[in-house]
Amino acid sequence: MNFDKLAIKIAERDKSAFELLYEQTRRLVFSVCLGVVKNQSVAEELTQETFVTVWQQSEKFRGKGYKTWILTIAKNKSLNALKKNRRETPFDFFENESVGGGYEVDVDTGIVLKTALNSLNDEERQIVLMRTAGMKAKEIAQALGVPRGTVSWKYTEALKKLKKLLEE
Amino acid sequence: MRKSRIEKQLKNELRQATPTAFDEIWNKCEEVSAEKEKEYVVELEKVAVGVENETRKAGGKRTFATLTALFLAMVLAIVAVWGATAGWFKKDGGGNGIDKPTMSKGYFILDINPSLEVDYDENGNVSEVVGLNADGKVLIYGMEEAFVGKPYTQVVDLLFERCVRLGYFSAENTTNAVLVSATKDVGEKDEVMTENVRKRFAELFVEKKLCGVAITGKEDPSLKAEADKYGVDSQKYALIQEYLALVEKLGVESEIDQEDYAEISIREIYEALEELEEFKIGDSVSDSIEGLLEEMEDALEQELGEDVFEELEELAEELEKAKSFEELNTIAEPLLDLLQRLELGAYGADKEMIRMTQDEVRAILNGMQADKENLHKPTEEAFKEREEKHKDNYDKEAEEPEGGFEAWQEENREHFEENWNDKKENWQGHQKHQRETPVR
Repeated sequence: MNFDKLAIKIAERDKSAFELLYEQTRRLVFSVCLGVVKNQSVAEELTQETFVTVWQQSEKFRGKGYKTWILTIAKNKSLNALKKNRRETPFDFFENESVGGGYEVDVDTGIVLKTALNSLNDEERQIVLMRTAGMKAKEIAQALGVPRGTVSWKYTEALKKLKKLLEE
Repeated sequence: MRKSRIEKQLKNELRQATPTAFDEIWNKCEEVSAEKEKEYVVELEKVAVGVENETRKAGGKRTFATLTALFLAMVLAIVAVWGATAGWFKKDGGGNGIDKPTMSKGYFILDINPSLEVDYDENGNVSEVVGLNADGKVLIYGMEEAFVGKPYTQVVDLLFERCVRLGYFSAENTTNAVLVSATKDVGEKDEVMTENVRKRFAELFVEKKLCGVAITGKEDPSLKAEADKYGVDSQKYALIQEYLALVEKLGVESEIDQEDYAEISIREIYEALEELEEFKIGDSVSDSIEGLLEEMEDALEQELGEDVFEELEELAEELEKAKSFEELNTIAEPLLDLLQRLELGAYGADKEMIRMTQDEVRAILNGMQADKENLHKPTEEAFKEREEKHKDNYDKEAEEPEGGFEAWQEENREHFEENWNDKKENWQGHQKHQRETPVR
């Protein structure tokens, strides 16, 4: 899937191209939003908002890295949503601004997913969810601005952590 | 529960949780597009009316503008004379509405991701700026002499400018932050200097329209109690503890003993931390390869049989013992050799799967090689790369947050203060750079 070519069609207001983009990336966008806000219904709204923004702004997109651009929109929207939520806002910091907390952890199904949202730190959670949604380690490394080895290492550590918690 | 089962279950659960309805999205897109069109029409109408009003007012406005300009000029003249008398323009850093620092020399540390030490004399003029880590050296590359003799306020401005130029502060980043801590030569905190430097950074974030905070770090009372036992301040003690924790994790020998605590400088502790960088990379690599084999345990064991898989695992474990890149590469050779034999058909293993495993291991080792090259990259080269990479983002401003940049700082300062250590752990746990990792 060549996302950069899809970008051109979407900028030309091609609905079927936009639908194809949605099918190819909705899980990834959702996982990015969920990784930040940890709440399924909020993540759903943010996913919707992300795609609406992508539709609105695609004509302004230039160059390469359309997928990364979309994920950046998703991440920024999620971070802003957290900032607006004043219930509980502890910040964890990485050069790529993941922020934890703010919403009640909530997913409709899935003990493993729930455990991941509850127990992993921001970077681990993002890496695990992005990897689970199908992103390659190299892409995750680019998106998060960390070395590829770090992605592999963190992913391994996070799964070990989950394994231990689920066995308890 | 095995890790691979966890991954499968996670995949299923994420799949179930992910929203599916494209129609809802499409309806929303159309709704938003329709609203934007309406707003555009209203704006056009406003502009049309505004132009008409402006033409009528233009005549009366000109006289008013002339009088206003004269009045402002008078006010400025009075203020300038008053300021000169009050010493605003003195060379000793008493400008910018900032308090004059206490009359003793000392140094302040800036932690951004670059870490810097800025030494100043009793007049607040800078005597030296030192990069404490690799990024710190990159940050000040070529400017080391230029800082000397300048008021500290000017040096802060120059450093801020450099951070923006090299992408350490940027409009895209909503968590730009700097931790400031000043200490007098005699070892006490210089609270006035700390606050002055912090305030200047905070002003600069607002002036340059970036989302960023300047903090001074919260004192941990338990840490202070421990630090006092050794006769050091808590900042230095925290840094030493960070070093010792890393030494333990990597299984290497500590260069800092308890009797050194009082004498050792912040700069020397950073140097000791920098010496551990190679070990950190090796540690991460061996964990990654071990983790990879664990992930593929079920599949590989089935393909290779228990004995061969055990051989693979033992080789991976050996990697942990490596204390240098050379050792790591030496130990990785038999591992790669075994994988190659497996790819060529030994034990009848599935070639595609073995090739994938090989590729992953090579990618991890290539990543290590790239990390190593980056670690030993000359500062000049690193500086030029960074400058080139960030040149397009130099003039960008962040989207103004609700309430403005100052309000954003107020709102977020406490959170940054409380969570500073998490951020630091991630800087120092990984090399903060973006690069392409070659994969065979």
